[in-house]
Amino acid sequence: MRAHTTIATALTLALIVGAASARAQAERKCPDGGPAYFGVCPNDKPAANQLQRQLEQLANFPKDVPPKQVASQLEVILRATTGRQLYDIVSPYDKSSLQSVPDIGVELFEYRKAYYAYRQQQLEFQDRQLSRIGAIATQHVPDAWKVYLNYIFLRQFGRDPESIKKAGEVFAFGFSWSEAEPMFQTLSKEPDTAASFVRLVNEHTRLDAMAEKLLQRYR
Amino acid sequence: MDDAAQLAVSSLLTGPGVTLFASTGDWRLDSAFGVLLADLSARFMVRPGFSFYDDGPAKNAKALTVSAFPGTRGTVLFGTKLLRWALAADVHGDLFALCVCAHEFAHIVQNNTPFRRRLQQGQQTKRPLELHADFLAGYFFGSRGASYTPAHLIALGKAWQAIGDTNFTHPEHHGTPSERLGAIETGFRIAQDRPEFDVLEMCEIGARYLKV
Repeated sequence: MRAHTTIATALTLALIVGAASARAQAERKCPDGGPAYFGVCPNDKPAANQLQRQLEQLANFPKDVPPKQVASQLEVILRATTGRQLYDIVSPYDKSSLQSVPDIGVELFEYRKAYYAYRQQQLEFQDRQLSRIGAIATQHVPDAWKVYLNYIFLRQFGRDPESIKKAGEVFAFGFSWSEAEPMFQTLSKEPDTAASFVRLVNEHTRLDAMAEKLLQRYR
Repeated sequence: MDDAAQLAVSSLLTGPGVTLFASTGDWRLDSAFGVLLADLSARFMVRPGFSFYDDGPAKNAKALTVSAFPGTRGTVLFGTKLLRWALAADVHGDLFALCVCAHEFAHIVQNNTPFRRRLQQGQQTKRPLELHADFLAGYFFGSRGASYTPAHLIALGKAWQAIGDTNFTHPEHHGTPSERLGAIETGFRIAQDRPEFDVLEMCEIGARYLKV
């Protein structure tokens, strides 16, 4: 019994020492190649440090960093959320803070600009679509128009009306199933809807891949 | 300063010319040292005598096995030149002085326990003994419950690194700059991650860290 306790204690101590040594060792080098002291780099910029911690968090624990709910409806429907989560992180930072992140600073700033432009296009597209829906819909309830738009997006992705209905993904006061499908048929024939939809989905895919690549640095 | 103490300490230092001082000459500094010494005694579970001394041209601090003051065990001496230099060298030099003090108290702990022998056994230099004391100084620094700014940590790290040496074969070799920084950082980390450990447990962890 005593031998077991001794072995367990020795193992625990070895683990503690190993972990602390490894951590101290890992923290000794700064990204600029200079020495760190107690894990602090003399040339660090606080904003860049905080940003790097957030990027590490997103790279390794993405579910702990849920996307903010201020995106366009199409962004919310799209399942790949890394690009959106990365934009949530980088958007509060200015150009110099972003560019001071080692290795990927310039690309991070480019990413911020690209995603900003993408989101603006999304929101403009959404506004145009909602205006069109408003003109066609019999009910003048803006909340219902958003649900029609959701339905249209899901149909654009190839979902059939029955599966959407079954999944209960679209429902709101003022929404009518009998009106939804004809609305989709009308709008999907309009050049702006189809072309913009494809372009925006492609841009989303491109930005998501770009975000994944940037986060690789922290995995 | 007591004559007997003077004599006892002098015999262990450079000779009868050693001068001890009860005060730094600055009451605020004396007061800060008083708080620090009480904290060190409690955390390290030792009760050495303490005095400032004239460290001559060599800036230094020492831990002696001799008990120069009644009711104490061992003696820590802090050089007045070392103290003045530390406070003048950097705006956060007080933390360096604090850790030097902790390092010397760590030697008292080693002296009062089997760790001194263990750390010296089969060694050609003082390196393990000194790095172990650095590790315990890091433990003290990290367990005080104080919060440090990046500037504090950088200043202490740089100062601690600077006292390393590369006289690898000299009996007085204390460890390279990197080893000294590594030892104090590791003690600090463990103290912060595992605050439940007392000084004796940290002595054991420190010895294992040094693979002794």
